[in-house]
Amino acid sequence: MVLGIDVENRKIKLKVPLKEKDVNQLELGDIVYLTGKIFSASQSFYIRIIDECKDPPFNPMECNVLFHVPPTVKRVGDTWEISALTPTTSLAFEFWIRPAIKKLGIRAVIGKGPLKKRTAEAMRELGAVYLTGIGGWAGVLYSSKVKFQNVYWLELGIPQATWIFEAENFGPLLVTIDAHGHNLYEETNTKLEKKIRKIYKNLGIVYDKKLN
Amino acid sequence: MIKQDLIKKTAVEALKRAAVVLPKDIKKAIKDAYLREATEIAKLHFKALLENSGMAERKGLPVCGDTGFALFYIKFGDDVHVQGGLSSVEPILKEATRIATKEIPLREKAVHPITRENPGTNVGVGIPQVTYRMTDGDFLDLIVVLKGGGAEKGLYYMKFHPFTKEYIKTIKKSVLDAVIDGNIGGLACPPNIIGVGIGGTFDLCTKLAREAAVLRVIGERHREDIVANLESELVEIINSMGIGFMGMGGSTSILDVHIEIAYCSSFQVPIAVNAQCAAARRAVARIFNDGAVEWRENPEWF
Repeated sequence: MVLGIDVENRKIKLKVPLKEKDVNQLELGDIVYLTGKIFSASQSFYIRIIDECKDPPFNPMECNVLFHVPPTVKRVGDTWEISALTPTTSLAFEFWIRPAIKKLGIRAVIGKGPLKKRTAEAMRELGAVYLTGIGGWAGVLYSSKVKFQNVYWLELGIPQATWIFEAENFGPLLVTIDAHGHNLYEETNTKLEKKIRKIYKNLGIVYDKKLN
Repeated sequence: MIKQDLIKKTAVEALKRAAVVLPKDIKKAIKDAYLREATEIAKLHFKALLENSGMAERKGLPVCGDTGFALFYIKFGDDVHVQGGLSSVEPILKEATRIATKEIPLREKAVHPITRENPGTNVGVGIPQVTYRMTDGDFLDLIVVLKGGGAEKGLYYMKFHPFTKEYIKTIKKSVLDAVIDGNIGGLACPPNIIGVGIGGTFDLCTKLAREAAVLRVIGERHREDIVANLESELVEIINSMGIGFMGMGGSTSILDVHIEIAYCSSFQVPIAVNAQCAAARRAVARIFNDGAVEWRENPEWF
């Protein structure tokens, strides 16, 4: 349970590439910091890797953390400055997440917003976790923990290219889906729905939404 | 006369201020939320945001990586004189967007809607969008809003018949449903500023919703009491839902609700909902004929 946890005692520092035992120990609400290589993925990455069956342009054994982020970057001489890193909605890519985890051996996906049952199920089977940033869109906080390492497929445009970042204590990241099938978004929504139903009822209006 | 160069310089500076420095009312709202939140996770989120906005200002970098779409709102004073005429302003704003995209930088977001080609400039057919209004005075107001992509979720437009006395309930349901669609799971980056348009035609109604979301400061109430009361009531209801920062639970689910209205048919109530994300970025500059530039907090659009 994440609300009311003793935050100080749940900080966990991990090295990338992540091993299966690293992610198996994580629980919902743990706060994770990553050191090592992480890579960015938008839909063009998934299309090339999954739909078109291409090989990734980097070694996924060394870099098994996938980050849903179109980076905000600035060209400086022959390198790039990473100005701000704000993740984008993971739901848009949910269809591809299971096959990508399977093909590349990904152990952690970083992104924004919820992922559903089928991804929690895939993560349980394949040994991976879903992490979201504390502070959500805090773009500078997160860019300050990485350095540019490489970029591939830049012809797709900056947001859609595949960027490799060298991260140091990249976080705080909140474990929102663990490797045992638990989903913090689902748990939070179940509680919220109960509350919201009551509010609608008191206002005399019909509740016809479904949060999970 | 206002020189074209001054408009360009001011527009680039406005884009930079908007991207990097959160407006005072937004910073205060985030700080208040940090102090008010009871759970540790909610507190940590808001603490991270405060730390982030401090770092952004020190480093001169965008406070959020999604620098959104630049929306320009321009108010021309009756007595303003612009070098090259009023029609020269729009090309200058496009040029300023191009420069700002490289210099700040802004996320290279805008692509052709069919070919998906990205010019890398955030300039293309129809964008950046510019909206004009006239006023009295010897100045030009240049307002920049950066509208994040997250807060384009949970959009809502509907028309219904006000044939029972309960139509106010339908208005409330429309707003609450839109808040749920956009904010559960944090899709629209809550806490949002919710903008509601009531009345008008389709285009006017949706325009009012967006302008209500992005062009009023936190805590500013509508000029008509009956609308202002509905705003306050909705703020209280939505916060009591407990959606919290990024949908992770907490007592701050929205920053404010702003409603704008227009008269409409006696047979219909059109209603639209739009939102601005928690990084509610805007900058307001007033450029006078004599070349003086005054930076302001409140867009005073309505």
